[in-house]
Amino acid sequence: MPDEPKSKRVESGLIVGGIIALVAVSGYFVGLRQTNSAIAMTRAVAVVKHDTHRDLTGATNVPVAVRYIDQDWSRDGPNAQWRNSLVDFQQPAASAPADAAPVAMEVKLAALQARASRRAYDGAPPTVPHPIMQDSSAACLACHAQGLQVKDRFASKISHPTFGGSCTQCHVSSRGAFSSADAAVFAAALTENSFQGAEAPPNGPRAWPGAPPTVPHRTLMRSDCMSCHGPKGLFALRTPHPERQSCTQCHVPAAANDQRQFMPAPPLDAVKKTDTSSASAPPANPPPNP
Amino acid sequence: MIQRREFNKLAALAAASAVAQARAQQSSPGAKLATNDEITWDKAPCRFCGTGCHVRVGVKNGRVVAIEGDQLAEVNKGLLCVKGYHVGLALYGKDRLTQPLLRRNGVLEPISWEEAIETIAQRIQAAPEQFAIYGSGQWTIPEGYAANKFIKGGLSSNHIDPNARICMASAVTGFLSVYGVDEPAGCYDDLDKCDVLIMWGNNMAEMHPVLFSRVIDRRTRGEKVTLIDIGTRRTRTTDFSDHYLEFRPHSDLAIMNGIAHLLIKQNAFDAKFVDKFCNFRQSPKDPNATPTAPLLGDAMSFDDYKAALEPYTPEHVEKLSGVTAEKIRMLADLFANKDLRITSTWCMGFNQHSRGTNANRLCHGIHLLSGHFGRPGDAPTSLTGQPSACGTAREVGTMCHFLPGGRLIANEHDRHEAEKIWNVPEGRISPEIGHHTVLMWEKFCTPADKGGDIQTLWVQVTNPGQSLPNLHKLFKAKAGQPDKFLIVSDVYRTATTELADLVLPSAMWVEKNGMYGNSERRTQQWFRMVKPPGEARDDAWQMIAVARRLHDLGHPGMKDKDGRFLFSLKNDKGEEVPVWEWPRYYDMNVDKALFEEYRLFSRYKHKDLAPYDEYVKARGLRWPVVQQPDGAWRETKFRFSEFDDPYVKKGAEIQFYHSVTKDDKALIWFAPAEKAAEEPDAEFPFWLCTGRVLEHWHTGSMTRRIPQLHAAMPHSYVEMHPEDAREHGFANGESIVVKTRRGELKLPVWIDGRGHPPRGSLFIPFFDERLMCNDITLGDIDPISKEPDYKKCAATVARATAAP
Repeated sequence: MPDEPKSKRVESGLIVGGIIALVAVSGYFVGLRQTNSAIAMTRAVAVVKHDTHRDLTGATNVPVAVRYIDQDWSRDGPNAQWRNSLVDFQQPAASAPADAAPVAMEVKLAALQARASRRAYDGAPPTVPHPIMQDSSAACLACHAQGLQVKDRFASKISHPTFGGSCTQCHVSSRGAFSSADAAVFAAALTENSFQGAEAPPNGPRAWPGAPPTVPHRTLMRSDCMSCHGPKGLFALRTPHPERQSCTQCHVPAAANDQRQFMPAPPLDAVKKTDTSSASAPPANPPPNP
Repeated sequence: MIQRREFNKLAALAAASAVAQARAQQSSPGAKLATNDEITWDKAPCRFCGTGCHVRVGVKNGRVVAIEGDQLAEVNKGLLCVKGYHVGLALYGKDRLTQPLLRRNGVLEPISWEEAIETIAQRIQAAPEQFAIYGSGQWTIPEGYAANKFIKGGLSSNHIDPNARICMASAVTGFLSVYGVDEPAGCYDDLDKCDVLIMWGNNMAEMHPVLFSRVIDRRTRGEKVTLIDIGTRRTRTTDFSDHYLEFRPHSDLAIMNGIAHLLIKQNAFDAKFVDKFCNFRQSPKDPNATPTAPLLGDAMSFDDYKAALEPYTPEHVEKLSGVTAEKIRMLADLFANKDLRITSTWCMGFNQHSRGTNANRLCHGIHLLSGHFGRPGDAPTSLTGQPSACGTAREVGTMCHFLPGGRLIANEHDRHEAEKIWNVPEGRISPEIGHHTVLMWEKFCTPADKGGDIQTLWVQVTNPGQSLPNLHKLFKAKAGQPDKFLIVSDVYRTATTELADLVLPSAMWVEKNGMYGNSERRTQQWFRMVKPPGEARDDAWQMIAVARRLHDLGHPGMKDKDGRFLFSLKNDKGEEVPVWEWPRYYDMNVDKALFEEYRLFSRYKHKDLAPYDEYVKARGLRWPVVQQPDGAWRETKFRFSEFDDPYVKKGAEIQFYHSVTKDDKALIWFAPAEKAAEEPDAEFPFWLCTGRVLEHWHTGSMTRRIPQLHAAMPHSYVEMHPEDAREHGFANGESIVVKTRRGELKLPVWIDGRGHPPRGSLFIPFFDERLMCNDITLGDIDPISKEPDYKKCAATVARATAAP
């Protein structure tokens, strides 16, 4: 029958094909296993333990890795001459506490002072204590989007994520390019202004001892409490209970700090009268309270 | 039990004073404890740019102590830029001018206000026709109005021009020749609605940062908006843009013609819109036929227009501009798509352009041709650089050819109307157009026997000694001419006071009442909150006091038809107050009285202003502000569009009711691409562009006295392409010499710094008074707007021989 040889050929073909497939598949997995075992067989790398201490003081010809904190911050390339080191950053004097220990008042004051040194007044956008990328905000957000800790240095998290586009619109370097071109002129010019800014309030009032303190400051552009008060926030201002996420559940802004009020028009006879006394005198006619 | 609460309070108090003391030692002794409870807050528009953000000013013990973005302000919605946050510090530079100073034997010596006013009055009385006023887009509206009335309605002279001439005059001539009336049809709301934002030579991220954030923060909220930066160097704006089109300086005209060419070629223009709402125009054959001839132009048919655009194929435009044909097609395709909303913004790139009027016209033209006009988000919008360039320079008309409310000196009817409102005899206002800025300074710097017909010049609220182009010719030449007398009212010593013969100390910003008008037709008001230092006094008072002295000296122009003093002002009770006596100046609200008079001018060109008290209640209102049947005052966001503008006829859809052609149609202009006045050559192979930086406001006289801003940008520089620097062997930061045909300047080179010019191009900011780039700029002016080009001239560079 003409059909019989054909069906046999098909049958034998299937058998041969099946064997080849079986060998290939099993070979594949065997191969995988062998690779795994080959890896397993390689010699374990000696792990340097944290307590391992190698004294390199006398050693020569041994390259010593620079600590990250000491590493030069600037990129290679044309701007390489504006160098900066992480250790030069202005930071609160005292180092970070390990945990949520209560902070002594003088420590807190020192921290507030350090904070104030970067602001013209409480509520002003802080200046940047390190060199900045001149033409991109992406570099700012690399560290400040989520906040960053490198040893005892902190890059605080952005406190107003909805305004997350153009960082340098408000935050400028505290030491811009070419500030060394006329170093003496530069230094002198910084003291040539007699403005005295409003101070940050140190404590929010409490209803009774043990009550959660109210928020003593305005919250415009400071909507993310964790920026300053979170674990990567400002030293001495960090919350003792970072595990609690909903801050305003217990801490409410004081009514006096509600900025949404529309300032009503002062009556026209309240237009401040002039006299010949100097500017330091109290205003003759302060605008009425809303 | 001890009162813990009391203890906490005490601790807080102690803490606060400790902080205050600690900080006081850093700054200056005697700082007092400041708690937020004692701060009173009031609203004011920011002192700096034309965006017109509102700030809340915190005042304590008679001094500004804090600034906040005003959340109720529609313009900025609580956000500011770094200049705005530090605007309060501008008041407290230690070298504020506090008394009038007269130059005697080359030295500025203190004199009394009486002497100062008398000196000015005598100079004017001796030769009123040789007296000129150089004002400012930083004048408040009442200040500009007082100066304008004083010189035009009192001295019968039109020699008054503001620094706005060197800032946005080309935008004015653009609007006038396209719509027949000045200022944008749209407003900032367009930025919230547009799908595509095209920034023409406009580094918005640095120059109008709050508006820029208004756009890019939409992305943070998940909206899609395409940003197109068309510029001559990469800037911070480029970093946020989807497309960057770099063009050869001055070739922007070719790009816009290329877009129009494609729209017509591909039959992708909005034929219905053009047919209903537009006529075509070109430059007049005889521009000198009448004073307004250059603005009116010659009619042309659509076919003529089409033929004129014929050469501007994408390939040809690529050759002229350096922008690839593919990118030109992309722009044309965007304009061809009516589903998109396209907003164009521009500022100094178009305006400070020796063909600035044409650049403005062509931009309006492509919006009209494609029908991208009159819907929210579809708008060609010019941005201004000064807080009241629109309010004071344009609307009050403190320019040599304008009268208040959009009226023209050249128009007899307009003059008579102004005379009627001012109640002065017919013919009081001179029909002769005064000197525009560049001419005024040229005439002032030229000796009288050589045709210099300005002998006494009064500068208020601006710093031309740094901001005029080609300073050697237009400012410094004044030195050594004892018969020329320069009066400067300012708050600090500047490059201008260097050559001043009389310096008057002025009150600034919240040290006086004021009103500004921003870029989007928004009129804003604020009250005096603190006192000016020493003997500093309001600019408007200075002008009125001089007018009164002239009145007493018998100058006939200082009286109206009924023999009353030009500035006899009445308080709310109808009693006249002698406001020219400084102690009486704040016995009434002078701003209100002047504004209510000025308001009478505003209806003529449908720039209706509301009563003063309405602005007291608002964070600014956009004109035309029209009273509703219920008595409320309603502002207008979108002019010429039926859905919003009450002056558009029902059913008209769009109506240009001040049309040049009197048929309610706007004009689409053709203007050819032309060469710049001075282009690079073998001897001077570089383009030199000048401009601004984020941290400093214009000449830096305020911002360089603010520590935070000064520290961030302490020194001028020249930007250069790295390849060019390598070729010349310049290291980054090295001091080099930039030379033009006008002079040279030594300053450090910044490679890959904030901006990135292409090869063969340089950029220098103009804020630094020690390194004034306008010593070397060209100052060639647009023939129509008379605005100088600061953005283009030829320069060369060399290694500095000695250290800086």
